Amino acid sequence: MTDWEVGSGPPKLARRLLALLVDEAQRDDVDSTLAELFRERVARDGAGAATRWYWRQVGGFAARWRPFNTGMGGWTTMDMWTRDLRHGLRSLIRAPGFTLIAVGTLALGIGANTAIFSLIAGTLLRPLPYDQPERLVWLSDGHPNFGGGGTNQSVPNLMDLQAGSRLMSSSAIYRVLGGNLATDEDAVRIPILFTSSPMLGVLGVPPRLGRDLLPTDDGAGAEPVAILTDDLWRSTFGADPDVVGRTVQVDARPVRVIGVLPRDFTFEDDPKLVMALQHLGADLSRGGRGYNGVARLAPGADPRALTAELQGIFSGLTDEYPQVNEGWFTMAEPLQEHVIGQNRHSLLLLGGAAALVLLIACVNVANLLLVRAERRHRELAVRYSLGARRSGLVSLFLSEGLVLGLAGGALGVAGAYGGIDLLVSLYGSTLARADAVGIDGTVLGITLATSLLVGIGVGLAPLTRVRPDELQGHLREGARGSSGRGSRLGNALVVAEVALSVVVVAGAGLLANSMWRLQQVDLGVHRADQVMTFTLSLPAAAYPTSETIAQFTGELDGRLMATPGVEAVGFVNRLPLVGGDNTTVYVWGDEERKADFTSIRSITPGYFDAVGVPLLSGRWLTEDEFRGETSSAIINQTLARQLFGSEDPLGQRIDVRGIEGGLVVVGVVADIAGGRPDRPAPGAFYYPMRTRLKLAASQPRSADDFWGMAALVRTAGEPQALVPALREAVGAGDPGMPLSYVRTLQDIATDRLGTRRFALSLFGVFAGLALLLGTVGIYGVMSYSVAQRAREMGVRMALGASRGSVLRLVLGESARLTVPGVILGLLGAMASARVLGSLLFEVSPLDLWTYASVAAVLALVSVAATWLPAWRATRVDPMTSMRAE
Amino acid sequence: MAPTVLGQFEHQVLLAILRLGSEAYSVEIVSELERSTGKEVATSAVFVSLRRMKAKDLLLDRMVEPGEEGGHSRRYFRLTEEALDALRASRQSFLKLWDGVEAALDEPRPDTP
Repeated sequence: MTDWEVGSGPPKLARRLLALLVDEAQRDDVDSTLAELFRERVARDGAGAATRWYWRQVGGFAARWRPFNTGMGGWTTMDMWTRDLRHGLRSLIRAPGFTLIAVGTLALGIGANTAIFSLIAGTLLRPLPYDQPERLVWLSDGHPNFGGGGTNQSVPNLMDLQAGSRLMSSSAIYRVLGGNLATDEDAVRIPILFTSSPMLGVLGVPPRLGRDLLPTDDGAGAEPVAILTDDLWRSTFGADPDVVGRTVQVDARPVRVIGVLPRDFTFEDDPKLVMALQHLGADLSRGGRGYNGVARLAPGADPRALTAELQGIFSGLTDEYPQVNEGWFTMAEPLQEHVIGQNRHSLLLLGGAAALVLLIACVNVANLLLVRAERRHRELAVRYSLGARRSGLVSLFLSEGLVLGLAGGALGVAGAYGGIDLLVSLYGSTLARADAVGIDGTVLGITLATSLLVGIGVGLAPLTRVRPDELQGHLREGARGSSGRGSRLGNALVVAEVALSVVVVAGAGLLANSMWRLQQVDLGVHRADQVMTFTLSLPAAAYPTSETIAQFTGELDGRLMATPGVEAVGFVNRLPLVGGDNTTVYVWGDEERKADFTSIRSITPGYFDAVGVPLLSGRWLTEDEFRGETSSAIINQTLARQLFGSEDPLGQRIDVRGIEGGLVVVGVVADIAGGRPDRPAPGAFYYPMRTRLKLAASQPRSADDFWGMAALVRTAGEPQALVPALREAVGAGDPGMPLSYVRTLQDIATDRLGTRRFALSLFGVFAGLALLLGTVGIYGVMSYSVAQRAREMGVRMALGASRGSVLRLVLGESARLTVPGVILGLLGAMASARVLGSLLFEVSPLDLWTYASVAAVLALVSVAATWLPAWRATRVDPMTSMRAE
Repeated sequence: MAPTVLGQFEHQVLLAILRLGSEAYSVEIVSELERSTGKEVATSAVFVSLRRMKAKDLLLDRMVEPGEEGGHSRRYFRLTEEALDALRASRQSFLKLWDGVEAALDEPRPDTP
């Protein structure tokens, strides 16, 4: 039975509501009375009518409900409160213009804070969905040349660290990589968490169906098995409860399903499938850095102590294996920090900016209320002479403030709902845990508290201007003039508002300046918007030999080139602008001359044409060389400088571990930017993909291995229009082969600036709000001041003052508020700009041009906001304004 | 002391209790009010009114425990002397006001359809 149906008694929900609305003294009485009347009505009018009657009665109690109505004593105070609240509401409704501006202003401030706070709550504050997540740490490597820590470790190193540590109670090694999952129609590319067997135990997230990975699943030659995420279980298996034991096709081989994860499981890169590390075809060499560890701290241990312990063990490993571990260090950090990573800084900054905007909004509304109180002196004087005490006035102003604050809060939350959806849809990919972002009870609670505080704050502001002893005077004097002290406070508020706006706008200015500079950085690629890219992975099960891979690639190259509109086609192991696949390169026979973190790129003949990189010296690789006949390579400018300095690199031999005999440099090309937007282009060497395939052929390949590569297709026309043709060309060679990450090179360039774009655009929005509110504030105060001084203006003009001089007078008054505000704001901005830290790029926190522009913008805004009141002042008819007195 | 001035609804509630005999409980009062006014009555208004009048010493109440047949305990209300005074005064002032104007109501007003 639902609450709306009628059985023997009144509707349950309504009855429960009633219990909340009626105080204890009367609760039983009211309940039994309504129940008895209800029964009579059921007999007389039928169940439906009786239920509707019951709800109406509960509604009646709700309408008469008073929050502090606990006893008889509470009535008088509460009645006064409700009277004041009603009065507040009425007087606000009577001044719709004022109310609209005040509520709208507060809604902007509160809404911005609600949106940002829900982002912070969802990403920074919410604990990870694991058992005792505070005890989980993330293990990584670091190298001073690579910007500190947070890079990948190798499996043998991690295993030695695990074996030697006593501060970890359990740990697992993992890597997330893409794999091809065959579905009924075609194949999709999904992220797969390849992990050593204890992972789910370390996280404390057992499968909800089936079993966990066991050490035997991770042994050599073990049958490939997988645990599905809830998501994949629903989408691919229709949430089949008997899914355990069925098989999925991953990279063209059958994998048996052994379990299903709980619904709220999340992990780095959002994997859809969990498989044993064994089936990655993992690079198990000590130099093969591509893995990380997750560990659970032993009771009493902390990440700092663990890092010290691990570093001790790692020093031993460095002595033992200097060629791969020299210069590296190892570290453990809380998993939560790793997951949130770079978002923390920008989110906290945005929280600060949003708080400033709210402060500006409050100052603005407080100012409006001050002006309003000034106009209401007469009403207040009457109230006071009729016996209203100061406490009564407090309650009156407070209730107005609360009505404004709550209305602003409600409107702000409504706006924040839309704003968050927009934010997540625009920047979800750059935000860690975007799925956890939303307005929940906590966020609403904080917003309610904020609204109440704001309401109280702005409500009490006018009291500073209302003094009982002065009120008496006002009654005698009439509505003339304002007290000097009051206007000084109002002026101070405008100065504060301008200063706060300058701080926000200057922050946005510095970020915009950095962004502009970042976008001016030459990425080294030509017309990136004309290059379509996608990635492919060729499973070893279907492409067992280097020859089959080379054949597939060659045929696909031909089909793509034959597609109308295509100008160039190139394949590469890893796309430009994304980083990854690095190694250390030495000058042949000279261990001292080396370059760390050099990008390895194995390419096909069309690659340089597709990317649009010019040859600086030497020659391109020849057809023969691309067939893998010789070991020639092309290097970029940076690598040439790092290895050979001013020497001529042409004809020199470089030593790359894993390539026997090294590579001979035949040409030098221009640099292409790497994955980190704020770092210079990395060194790189390019050699034929066939050479790499030949090398791969000499190494044993497991059946689980796959060959990953990316394609770049330069087109003369609209790149998106090319996508169906690209899919067709790939499908013609292998109908089950999915294309993943289909996007233009320009998209990649944009994505690399991800977090920065997010921070900048939100900062920009806040700066816009700050300017808007600042304008409204200056306008409000100036137009009030002009209205107050209408008589003075009239007299001045009657005595022969020109319109120009009156205009100058008003603008001058506005400047007296703006200039100190701008100066204070600039000082504040300079003092606080350092918090922008790493988000700045080639821009000093004290950048003169930015500050000068901000000052100019604020000056313009203030002139614009003053123009209308000033113009009005020049229209004052001396006779009218004199007569008005 | 001058008798308490009664609000219209208070007036109606007191009269309803009188019509029901010397004392009455909430269900009877609500039903009686609906019968005499011909309109639905908000139970909440009756409870607020009863509580206020009790606070103003216009009503006395006593709890009656349920009998053999079960059910809930009931709170019975009874009018005090002050309430009777107030009703008398109220009736008196209304009668004074009505004096000599009844005839005017018998004439159909021109704008009444």
